[in-house]
Amino acid sequence: MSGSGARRARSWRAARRQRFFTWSGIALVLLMAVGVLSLMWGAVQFGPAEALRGLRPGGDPFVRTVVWEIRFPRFLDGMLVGASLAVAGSLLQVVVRNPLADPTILGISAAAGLGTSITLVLVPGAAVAALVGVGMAGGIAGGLIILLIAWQGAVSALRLTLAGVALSAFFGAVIIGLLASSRTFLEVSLGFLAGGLYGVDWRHATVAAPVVFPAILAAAALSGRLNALALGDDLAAGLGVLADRTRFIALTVAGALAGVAVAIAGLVSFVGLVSPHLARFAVGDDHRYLVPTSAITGALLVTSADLIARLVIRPAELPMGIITAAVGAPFLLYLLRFRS
Amino acid sequence: MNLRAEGLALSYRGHEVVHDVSLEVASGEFAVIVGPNASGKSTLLRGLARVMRPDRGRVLLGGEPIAGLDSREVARRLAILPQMLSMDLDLAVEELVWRGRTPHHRLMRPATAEDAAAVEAAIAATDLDALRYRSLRGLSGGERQRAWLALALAQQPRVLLLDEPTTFLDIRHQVEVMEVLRRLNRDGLTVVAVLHDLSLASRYADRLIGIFEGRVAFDGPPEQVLDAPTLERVFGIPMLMLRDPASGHPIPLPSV
Repeated sequence: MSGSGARRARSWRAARRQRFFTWSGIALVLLMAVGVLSLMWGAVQFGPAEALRGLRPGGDPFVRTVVWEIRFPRFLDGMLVGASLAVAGSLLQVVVRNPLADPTILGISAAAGLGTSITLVLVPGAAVAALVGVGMAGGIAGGLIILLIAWQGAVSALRLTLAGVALSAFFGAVIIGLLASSRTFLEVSLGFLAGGLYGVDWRHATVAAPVVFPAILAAAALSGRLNALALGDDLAAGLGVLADRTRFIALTVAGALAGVAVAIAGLVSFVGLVSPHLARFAVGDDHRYLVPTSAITGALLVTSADLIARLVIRPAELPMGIITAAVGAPFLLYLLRFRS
Repeated sequence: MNLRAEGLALSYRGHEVVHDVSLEVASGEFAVIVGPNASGKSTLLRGLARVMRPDRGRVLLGGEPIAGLDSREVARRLAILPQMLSMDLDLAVEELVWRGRTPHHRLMRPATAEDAAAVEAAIAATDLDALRYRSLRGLSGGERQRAWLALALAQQPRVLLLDEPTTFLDIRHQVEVMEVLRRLNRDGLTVVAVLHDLSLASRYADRLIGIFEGRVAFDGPPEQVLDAPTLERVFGIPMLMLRDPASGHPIPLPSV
């Protein structure tokens, strides 16, 4: 009996792994499709072959400039932002044990945004690396504020969410005050507040990637401990997982990821909330699969939203965050009504 | 594997609630801790499991000071089932049980045949085979308690600590959980459980430890330590002692 049970157990686990590879495979194919469309569509349109030729040197210099200097790095930036927010969200949801947690709702994005906007206003033309560094520092600080509030996990989901609302409102007010009192272009301010990828390029991708990839790997390395932490602090401790230390590491990683995303794309909302839930729907609640699936899902969401944002009022563009909010807000309502 | 506390003092929210408790649970023993609410039972159990750090004193597991051991090493020898368990996890029973293998895993190392065997043994011991793919959310209280128990068993502990494992269960499911524990105990597992039901405690315990105001009030086999004056002192109400006509176990009852 136990022999057949063991066989069944193996096949069940194999089935779940299969599910993970199927879903992430589908998401990767979709991501590539969005990538090709992102190179083709925008203020000027190219055919698929023409757009892909633009990835290589030579050929039409105009196409090359638009594809290689603008659209392709922007697509990469979108992937980095989406993956960062989604992984941050998946970490936060388990660390504060609340399915409604995400960097925006907990005020972590606003803390990062405060750092970034202070730098934008005080040091006009600051290097991208500086902005990303300050954003990370702000995000980590925001994460540690949440850690202080949620210490030992004894705080209720309601109080934590309210604390996040308070932090977001406070930092948000300071951000708007700073932007309004400076001579920053309205377009830049609006893009920052709503969240968007207007004007991002290779500099952002090359600065962000060396932070984002190790941070996502760190999140993946935490996944066993996150699985234990999801069961409760005492049980995690009984399983040899130190809850407080795990929470500290996870909040630091989530803060850094959210901070990088904010420095690149401003205050993009809902991606960190929605992506882990979509991923959970696909692969279940095991963080070994959830973290990578969330990353791919977030990348897909942000690049798709950016593509749409560039097309709806062409040749002008909407801030991408408007699209993620338009999709994310109804999803949040659905969660509140039917899942919690 | 035996478990020993030496002069253990523990605080909860800044107040010392366990005062210099010394006790020893022998290898293979079935010990039950009883006592009124807020007497420090759960805190004592958490201290024994190294879930919390003592203010003073130490805990020895198999003769080794538990504070000096790696937390994963402790988790391979000793499992604890806390009182407050999440009601809202959307996990399949089998997935939950697999998480009991956490202390045996190394980073990025795939599961081994030993892991699978431990999970199967835990599922068999708690009679969960028919429920293994069901979500915890859809289980009854007794089934869910068995699933949590299986999680702890998958750790393959030598010592199992349980905090009120029968609370919220009807009498049949209480007995069911206790019977599982007795079977495991007879196979060599050292069991320490906090229980509220004195007759259940008397029936299953080799050894009854009474905690009152953070100190050991009585400690010994149920037939020896259970008497009306002691229980009246600990629980603060008049008690009556009956005897189970079949087994001879003492059955304490409130006599008010």
